Amino acid sequence: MSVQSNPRVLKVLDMKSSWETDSAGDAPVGVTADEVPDDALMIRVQQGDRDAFRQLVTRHIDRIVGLARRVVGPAEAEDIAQDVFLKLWARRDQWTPRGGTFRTWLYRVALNRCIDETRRRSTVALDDTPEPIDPARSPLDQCDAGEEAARVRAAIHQLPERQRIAITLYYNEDLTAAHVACIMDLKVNAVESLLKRGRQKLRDLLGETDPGGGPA
Amino acid sequence: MTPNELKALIDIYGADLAKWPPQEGAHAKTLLAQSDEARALMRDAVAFDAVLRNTGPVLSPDRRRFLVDSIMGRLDDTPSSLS
Repeated sequence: MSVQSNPRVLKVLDMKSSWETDSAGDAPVGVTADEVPDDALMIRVQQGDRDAFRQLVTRHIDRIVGLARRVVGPAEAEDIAQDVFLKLWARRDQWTPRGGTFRTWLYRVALNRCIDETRRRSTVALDDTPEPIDPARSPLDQCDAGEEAARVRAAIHQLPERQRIAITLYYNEDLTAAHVACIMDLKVNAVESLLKRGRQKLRDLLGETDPGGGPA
Repeated sequence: MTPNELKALIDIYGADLAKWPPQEGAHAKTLLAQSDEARALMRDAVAFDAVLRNTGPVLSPDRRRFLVDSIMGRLDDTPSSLS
């Protein structure tokens, strides 16, 4: 499905979001507050400014690889991230500053790409795919740093798709339930239900005890 | 707010009160100031939030640079191939 023909992507273009000033939340790791805001860069991108686009890609590539890794799986995450940014470039004329933040648009495009991928390969076991090798890290480093994280990712992969997406956006991208609802095109109470069921399921999967002692 | 109500809200919103609806967050802060049981629930929730956020490092600087260069080198690909 193309981004252009996907109603969920187009809808965000018409949506006046309530958190357009969430600039603090827009800054990924390594981005300081005095850097050019995403939306200002995107306006330059619309004029064909490749340097501005490089800044946006550099700023957000980690979060999109991470999102794809958690929603789809590790083997495809980098390819998906590349596709997402190439789509953004190809569709750059569709973005408008009044239609929502760049980050909202980015998440929408990324999630649509992730959903397309999970459905395309729905017969393939997601957890069968190995992590890609990053030559900059030693195998020992990757093992030490990744063992617990891999266990969490494996548990997240066992959640139903919408719970997986909601949990990932809420905890890993540090968005609020309202933000997640807008990105997923759901009502806030529906996202709250996804978050509750997802968190309870992850407690079970990760062997965490329920402090209240009640049923999950 | 009771400890049970706090737990129900933690199940939805996690341990970061800044992400809770403001009124519920205020009630939770009041309860946390008064109740050992509530503080124990919140300590557990903070620990579990940390587990959920631990999905590992993503990209090394070299890998990030490689991917960015790869994307920038493909900007002139035909858009139809990406749809």
